[in-house]
Amino acid sequence: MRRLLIFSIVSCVIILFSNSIAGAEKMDLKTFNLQNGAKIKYLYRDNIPIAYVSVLIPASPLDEPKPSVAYLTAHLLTHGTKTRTATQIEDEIDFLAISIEKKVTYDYTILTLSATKRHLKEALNLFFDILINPSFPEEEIKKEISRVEKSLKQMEQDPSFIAYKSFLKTLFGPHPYGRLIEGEPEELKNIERQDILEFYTKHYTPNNMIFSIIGDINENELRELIEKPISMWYGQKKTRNINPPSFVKRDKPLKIFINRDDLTQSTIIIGFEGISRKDPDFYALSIMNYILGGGGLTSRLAKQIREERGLAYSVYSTFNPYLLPGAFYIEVKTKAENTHTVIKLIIEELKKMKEKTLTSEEIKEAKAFLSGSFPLRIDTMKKISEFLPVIEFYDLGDDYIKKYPEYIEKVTIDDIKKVANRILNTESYILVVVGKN
Amino acid sequence: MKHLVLSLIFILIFPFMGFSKIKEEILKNGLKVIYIEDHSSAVSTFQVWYKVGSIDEPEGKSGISHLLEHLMFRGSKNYPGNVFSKIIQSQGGIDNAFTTKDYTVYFQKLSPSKIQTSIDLESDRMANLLFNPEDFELEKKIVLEERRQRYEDDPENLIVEEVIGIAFKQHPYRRPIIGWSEDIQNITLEDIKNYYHEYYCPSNAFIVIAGNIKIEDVREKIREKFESISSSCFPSRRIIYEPKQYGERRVILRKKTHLPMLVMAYKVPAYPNKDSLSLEILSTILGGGQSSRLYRKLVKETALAVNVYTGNSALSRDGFLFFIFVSVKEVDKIKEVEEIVKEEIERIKNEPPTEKEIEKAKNQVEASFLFSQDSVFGQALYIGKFEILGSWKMINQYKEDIMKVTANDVQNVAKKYFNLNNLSVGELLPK
Repeated sequence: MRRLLIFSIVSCVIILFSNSIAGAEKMDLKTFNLQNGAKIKYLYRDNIPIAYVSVLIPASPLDEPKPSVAYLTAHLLTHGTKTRTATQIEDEIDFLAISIEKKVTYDYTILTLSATKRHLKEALNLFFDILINPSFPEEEIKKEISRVEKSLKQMEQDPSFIAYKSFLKTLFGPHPYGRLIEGEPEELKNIERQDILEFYTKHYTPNNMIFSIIGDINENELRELIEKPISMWYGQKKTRNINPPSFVKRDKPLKIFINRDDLTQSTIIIGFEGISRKDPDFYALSIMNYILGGGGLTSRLAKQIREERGLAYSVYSTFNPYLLPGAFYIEVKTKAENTHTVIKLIIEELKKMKEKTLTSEEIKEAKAFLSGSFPLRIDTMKKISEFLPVIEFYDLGDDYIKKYPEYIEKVTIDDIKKVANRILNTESYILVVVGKN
Repeated sequence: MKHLVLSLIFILIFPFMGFSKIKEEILKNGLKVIYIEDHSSAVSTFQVWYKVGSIDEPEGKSGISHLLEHLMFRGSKNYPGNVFSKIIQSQGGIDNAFTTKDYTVYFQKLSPSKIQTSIDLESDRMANLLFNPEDFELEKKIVLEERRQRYEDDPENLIVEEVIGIAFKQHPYRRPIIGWSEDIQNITLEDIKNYYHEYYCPSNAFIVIAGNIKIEDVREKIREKFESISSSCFPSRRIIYEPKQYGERRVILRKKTHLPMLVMAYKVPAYPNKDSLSLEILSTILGGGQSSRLYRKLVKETALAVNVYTGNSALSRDGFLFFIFVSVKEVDKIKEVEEIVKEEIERIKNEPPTEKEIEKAKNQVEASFLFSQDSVFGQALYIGKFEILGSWKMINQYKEDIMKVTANDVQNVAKKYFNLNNLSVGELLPK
């Protein structure tokens, strides 16, 4: 039995920060594959007496029978277990000064425990209890639903939220990517305890979970406090059954105006179909997006709209590369009377990106930024803890951190041109404006 | 017995960890440089802190510190034009700045091998900022858009701005950091130039450089670029006072919102006044986490609120406000919520918090310090905030003092500061 509990397979050791850009000391990352299918990524760091434990669960709105169920399941984990009430859990979290963050994305759920070394044992005991033995009490479900409903209604006052919600719905229709992760306030009342229980039983199974542990935990502690509870946990094996969105063809721009007379600014979103994370154009699109509107104040959109004309404080473009194709969009806020001018400027910039040549300087700068700033994406233990499972989930390879600069460097000017013409839909974009008529 | 053991370990870990690799030096022109060597990640941060914020602004010029912050990105003698961010980003770094009521910070996060770029750019804009009239007018427009976005179209921020506005009658803290629109419009380029020359000089600034650096590698580089900058600036510090308050003050704002919001603000002192530390502990007991007294009462037991949190600002150049924010579920319950908050405050005044509550609060103080050390940027900010108050070395005293706070201290500060002649209330109601 003891043999079963120790690490079954040590699959690999990879080096973080080994590229010359980062120039930092090397750190050994270990990966363990357990017999029940769970994976553990482990990095020992003792410079601060703290530790982070993350677990990625492949469960999201893509798997939901009803909207909000993935979100509610994750958030209700800390509302009661077989041996602890919600109040006891809250007391323990606050007394031990730990935090258990729950983040539900469109593709997965990730929980992250942060604890000081001094309270690590109790913290891990609690963390595995809420993960393995949640009880989802009826009373707590009601309270959480009421809280989420109120919060959603409050968020619906925020012009960015309204514009984004309307854009997603228009682009993705009934697909789960077309609704908010929290769901719709009106539909929350349809959720029953059984929905949450079933979702948990079906999707919170160890066989596809990816754990990452980083911080002041030695290998003995890892074995006793982490591997042991995970190894003893058996659940159903599951495979995900997910469907890609079917986009409705548009032959001209689709314009949506949402009136809010109380606002001084218009919030404008212009967007269209994007790509999935596995799309071969991912790196070319990353560079194109940086040049267009992802590069902060140096991007073309920021230059035209903010820096040279003073028409906005915030303007950017971004894209959501999910398991399945996500969205590409631009958001800007401008004084109501400048709405048309700004929309015109954005469309001009999109056309320019498709039709005119990019300068080699622009491409060089974009590549230098994307490669050079990569270490900033993993410059804390917490960021590493949340990043490692994501690399595994999207199957980017254990050498992803090392290889990223190569992937970026390989992109040619033609690749960027091609992806600009593929993605920037200047003929039939979706436009949402929230503001004064 | 368990408590005793815990306390002992606590003392061993908390006061002495973290700051062994910090060194400082003062250049000939009065510029202090603080070095933090931390090789746990691949990155570094370079921060220039100017001891100027909205507290220093003259009447009618609210927002001038922040407007100058924007202009600092529009070029200097050796780097003319809008090139600062472009240069940093092309080195794989990111840059930004922020203005507070007490100070203004410019920073980059980048590879230690590129730190010379930060040194070149920051030293040039400390000495030789350009004041292009066109850029100035553009930045004014941008700041006005920022104000619309962040305040005029955001009722929750607007109510906080209004509460701060009524809490102080005379003190410059009453003015918003971003400034009032009319003031922003009236600031001239001449005002900005004068303000820059008055406050932006080596003796009114300090550098914090942190991360995967070697002090001996960066020291000469910094000295070469910064030490020759003239130190001749004489920042004026206004005589600041706030007349005694008589009676509770209240502002009611009706805007398009779904959830009403209650904001209660009590005037409180800042560190090194030791009461500020007892107030930090009190803030955790009242609103830190879901087991806190107000969260339990308002969100869990009565279910009148969606959320509640508290905020104290011990690390201010002058006494500021202890805030209690409640997002209330129904508009007709806002009075009841306010009564409950006041009852909870009375409860603390009548009976000191339990030892367990004090221990919990101290655990949270310790954890939040340790977690802030996880990023080199966070470490540098932590150091900078204390340096603004006089010296980063005050941190050790601060940690020692906060661990000494007792239940009676907490009760005493509640009695001393939480009274109606010290209170300003804001109600955000749906229109």
